[in-house]
Amino acid sequence: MGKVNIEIDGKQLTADVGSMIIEVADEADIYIPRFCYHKKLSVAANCRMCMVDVSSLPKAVPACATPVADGMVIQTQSDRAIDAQKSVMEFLLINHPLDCPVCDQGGECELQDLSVGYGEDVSRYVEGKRVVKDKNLGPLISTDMTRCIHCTRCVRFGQEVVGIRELGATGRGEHIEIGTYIESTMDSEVSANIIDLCPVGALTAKPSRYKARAWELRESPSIAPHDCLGSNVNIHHRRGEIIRVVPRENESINEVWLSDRDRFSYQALTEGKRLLKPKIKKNGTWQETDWQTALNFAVAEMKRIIGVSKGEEFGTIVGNNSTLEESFLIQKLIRGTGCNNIDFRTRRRDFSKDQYSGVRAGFNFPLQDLDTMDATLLIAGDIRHEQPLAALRVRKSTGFGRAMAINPFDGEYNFRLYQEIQPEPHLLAQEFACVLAAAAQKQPDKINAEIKDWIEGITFTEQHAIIVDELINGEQSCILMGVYVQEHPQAEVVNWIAEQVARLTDSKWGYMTQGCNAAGNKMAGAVPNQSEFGGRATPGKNAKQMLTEGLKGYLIHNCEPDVESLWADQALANLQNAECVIALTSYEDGRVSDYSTVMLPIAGSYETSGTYVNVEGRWQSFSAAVPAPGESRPAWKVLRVLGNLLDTSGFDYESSVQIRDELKEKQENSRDKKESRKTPPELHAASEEETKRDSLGLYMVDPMVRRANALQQTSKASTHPISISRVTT
Amino acid sequence: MKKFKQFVNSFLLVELLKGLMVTGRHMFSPKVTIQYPEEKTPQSPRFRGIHALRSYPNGEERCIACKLCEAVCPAAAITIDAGVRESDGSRRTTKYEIDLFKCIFCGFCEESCPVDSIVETRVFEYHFEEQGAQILTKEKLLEIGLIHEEQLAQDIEADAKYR
Amino acid sequence: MAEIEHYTLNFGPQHPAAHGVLRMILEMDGEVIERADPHIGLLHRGTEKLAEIKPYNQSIGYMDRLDYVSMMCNEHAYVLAIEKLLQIKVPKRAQYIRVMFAEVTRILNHLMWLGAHGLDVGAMTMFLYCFRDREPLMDAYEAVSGTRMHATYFRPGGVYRDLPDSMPQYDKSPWRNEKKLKSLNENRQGSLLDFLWDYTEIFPACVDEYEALLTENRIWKQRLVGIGVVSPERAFQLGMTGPMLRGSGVAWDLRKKQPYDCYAELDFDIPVGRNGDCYDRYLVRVEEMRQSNRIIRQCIEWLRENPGPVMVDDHKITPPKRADVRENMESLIHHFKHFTEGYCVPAGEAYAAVEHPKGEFGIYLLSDGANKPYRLKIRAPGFAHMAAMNEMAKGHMLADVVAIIGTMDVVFGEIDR
Repeated sequence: MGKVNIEIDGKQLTADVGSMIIEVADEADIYIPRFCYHKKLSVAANCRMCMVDVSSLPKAVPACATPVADGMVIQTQSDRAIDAQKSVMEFLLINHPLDCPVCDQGGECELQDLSVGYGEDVSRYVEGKRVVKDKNLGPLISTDMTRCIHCTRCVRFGQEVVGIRELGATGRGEHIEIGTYIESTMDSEVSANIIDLCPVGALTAKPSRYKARAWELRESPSIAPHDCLGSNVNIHHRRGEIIRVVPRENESINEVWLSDRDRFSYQALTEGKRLLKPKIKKNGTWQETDWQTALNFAVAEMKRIIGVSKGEEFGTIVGNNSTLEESFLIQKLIRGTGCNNIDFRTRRRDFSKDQYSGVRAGFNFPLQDLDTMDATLLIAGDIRHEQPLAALRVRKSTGFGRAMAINPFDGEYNFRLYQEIQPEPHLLAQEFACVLAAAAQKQPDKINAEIKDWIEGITFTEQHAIIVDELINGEQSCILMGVYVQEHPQAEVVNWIAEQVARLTDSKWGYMTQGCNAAGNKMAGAVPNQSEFGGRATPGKNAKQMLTEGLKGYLIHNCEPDVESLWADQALANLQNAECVIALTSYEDGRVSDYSTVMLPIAGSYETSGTYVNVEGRWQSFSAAVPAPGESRPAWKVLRVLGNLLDTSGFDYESSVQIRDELKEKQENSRDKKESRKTPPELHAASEEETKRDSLGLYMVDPMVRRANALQQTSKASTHPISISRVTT
Repeated sequence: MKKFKQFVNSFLLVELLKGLMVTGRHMFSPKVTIQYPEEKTPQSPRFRGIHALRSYPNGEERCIACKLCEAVCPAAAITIDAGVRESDGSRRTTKYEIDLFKCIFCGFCEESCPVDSIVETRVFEYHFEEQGAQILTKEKLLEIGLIHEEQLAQDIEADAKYR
Repeated sequence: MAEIEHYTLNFGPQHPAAHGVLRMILEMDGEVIERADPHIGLLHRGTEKLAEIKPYNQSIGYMDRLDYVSMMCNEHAYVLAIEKLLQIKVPKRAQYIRVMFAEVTRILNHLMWLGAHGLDVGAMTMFLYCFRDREPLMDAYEAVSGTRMHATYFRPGGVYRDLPDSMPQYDKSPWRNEKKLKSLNENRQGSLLDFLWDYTEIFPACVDEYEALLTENRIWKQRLVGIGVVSPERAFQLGMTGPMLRGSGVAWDLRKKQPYDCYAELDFDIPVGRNGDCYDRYLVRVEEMRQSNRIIRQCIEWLRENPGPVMVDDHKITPPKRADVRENMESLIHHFKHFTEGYCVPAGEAYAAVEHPKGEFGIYLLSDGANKPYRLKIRAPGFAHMAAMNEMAKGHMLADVVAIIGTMDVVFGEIDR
């Protein structure tokens, strides 16, 4: 790309040909006022606020829509520019209602800021102002459409970034209105980003409506706990209460966006029924007690059950969203007592690979590369609802590349699929094997004898060949497996095929995982076959065995197996029949109080420090944004004390950072251990019963989201996103 | 000559007598003291005494929870919690407290209020009998507002042309 | 004879003559002061640091509480410093109002000083007369700002509100009949300017009374003449300003030397002393009251003739008119922003000093372009004077220390800040 030399406000700059003045100015830290321009959206040039003075042109021009030319001399502060900006500001304020005192945006409003910075200080307008009817956009976004200045950022967001045109502008001139055309709510899983985009107070967050002013809020960085991307967020809190969660820009993970799930799940912490004191169930009734008593009680019960059964009859279930530190401590603690039954994979059927040790995050390539894939093959799963922001990235790649899917279920995609194959769920691996066969034929020199034997007798169709062609021809291509794959009884077969296809077609491959810390939990050793970082451990029972066989005692940490596991009914019955269930939980509602014997209150997300390892294997540490309410304590502290009470050694940590540093060191020492598979897995048909999809809904994935009121009121909460395969019905 | 004059003046206690004449004169002049509390010194409409929250004649509170007063308060004496009022969805305070021990009576809250809700009355005589009583709650403030509404309206009217 | 050690006496901080919370360690040889060691800091409130965390306007009220007997003069230096950084020109009328109230404040301060000084030295009645005459000035304070002391009246860009057209009046009471009430309210029939004019008519006679009581009084002279002598050279070296410097015979007055606001247009004289002792400083201050009276009269005359705005008409800095806020968008936004964020002051530094009743009161402001000062330094005159305590008290009797504290006119609000 060629370069041109331009001058802005006396500063000599070099810019790429074709870039807009405003981009160059932003790069050089020269601020040009704007409303409609947003770096992630297309140029609309309809607010006219960014007028600048270009010496070669007779009139002021919008900086966001004027490409740079060699030798351009631009002034942002000249009389002509200021005059244009002032006039635009005056026009914008003509129809703006006098709402500042009651408007939630007040204090962080771009209109206010630019009015003070670039506008006049008195109005000449005395005529009546227009009024626009407010739209009902659902339980997440509250509207005051009279305040709208028609920058159309929200419209462009829906159209360009999400790919779902929910909002649009009708009418023209003074009669222009932003709305949904026909009365409807906004249902996309990333809809609330328009709150951040809206420069005025027309679109504001409903759950935090009127709660606080921007200047009262304190900001703490954190990591969102609901999907495996680990979106970066800022927690805005006041007097120890979380008011809202907003995205923190991180180009390599969430860009500037945030899914609604991550944005509004904090409500569970502030409005959910929190467990504030340790409780022990005595003769069927709950009694509040102090920590010492509760911990002693729990320890005595654990020792009793583990002692009698030699560890066979006690099981530990770790939640998907436990931090790395918590998982590490809990496995260390439970193994220290001589019990080996620990698992976090409550949604996995295929444990065939458990005999091999190894740690691998879902992706072997950066998440950001999804943007630039020429070919993306999606295997099962529902990317939009499982990882909403990953879907935005795949959508971005479809601007020039092609997305394809092998999905046994009806998928809702916000991008166009080039090829779609819909096999029966139990034949997913067989269908995918056809792709491998096609790839093997296209790349005969890359296959070895093993694969040759394996694909013996598998036929493929034209469609499979097209998919393989795309993968091979694409400069960058990837195979992306949804969460469902890991729930499939033949998960390991599919994984293996993906690996082989990727190798043959020279693509990347990766799988999405349930929860935000699947990779971290595995690294920490919260699995029955290995301790931290693939360390040796005596094999124990896995989640399926623990939940379906029925044990005498359970320790459940930050999860509700009766809701979120694949064997929910069995799990519930077994938990109820157990002699003792020790629950580390933040909430006391739900069935946890029904089946547990002792409840220990732990801090929720954002109230504890820790580390999440995302799907790329990226370690993201965070500290507590707000204090935990009541007597609840961060789980790592609780586990530390439990460890000491159980007389297990090595529980002298003073901070979660200390634990993390220790783990980091262990990881470095275990670097060379590679995941290895000796023989290819066997391909056999799975049972239809086991492959029925009982997916957790978008807003059902973890205890926190399930208690977020506003999310539960959305239309997405009431329907299961996908439940039926078109083929099977 | 000067020295002699000085000596005579000094000997005759002239300057002391002059001073005594001043005090003597004052013995017979009218007293300037005010017989508090039956009498009080006059107060201007700008007087800044204890706070009040005003209401509209129909009983509706004026305050819209914009929090300007909270933001402008140099002593951070005002604490406001706001939210959506159940009955009509309007923006209202759920808590409005002024800590009179923190307050420096600068009058910024009154100045910033866009709806003339928080005002400072002419009341400067008050006391607290127990700990915590110095915190004026929303109820107390509204009550003070109701008691002094007539005076407050007059004062705001009287000073409107200067604002 | 046995060697007698110096006797150490702890003076204050609760001593009534210590003017607040001054604590002094006096080393004495018999009744003669060998060394006086003033300790400060008992009234430290961290004003300078507090100002760093709040928008510019919000610190005005804290300035009142520095030297709490000359409230508006403290504000004056602060707003002048901000205006210097903002490079704005204040409307003429606002300048005159400010100067008028600065002089009202000077009289208030000197009356307070005279009463207290008299009381310290033994002239009980002075206190009563001074406080009587402070009262109308307090009323003037109250009429413009709403409070008798901590006015928060000066604002960057002008003053809070224009002078009121009417004065509040005394109410009926069982203690006074109609006639007496009428005479009490006699000077309150017109505007604030009329009220002050009336005061300036009477005040010179009051000063004559004070002088009749004190100036020639032999006890007063015995207590003050030749006490705490400071030579002009030493006064310079010690950083003395205001009446402390002028009492030593140096005609230094910022109102003349570096005129701010409208002082250049006013006619007044600078009294200076000759001997640099407590008595001369007394004379200087008394004469300053007469000069202040002259300035106030000139201001009133000008203000009567010239109505106009009292605030800069730039609502990026000053709050918009009340009526506009209700009606137009720009004003509402500027109102909202003014009271929440305040205004940003261009990066830079400024030092503004005023001739405070106690001396040179200066505000040094360092701005990094934000809406609050990066650093604020207060130059308090009393602090420099307090440092001269040892030198002034050495060799004098214990009772003279009280006279010296009095002549310094110390107020701990500004010294400790």
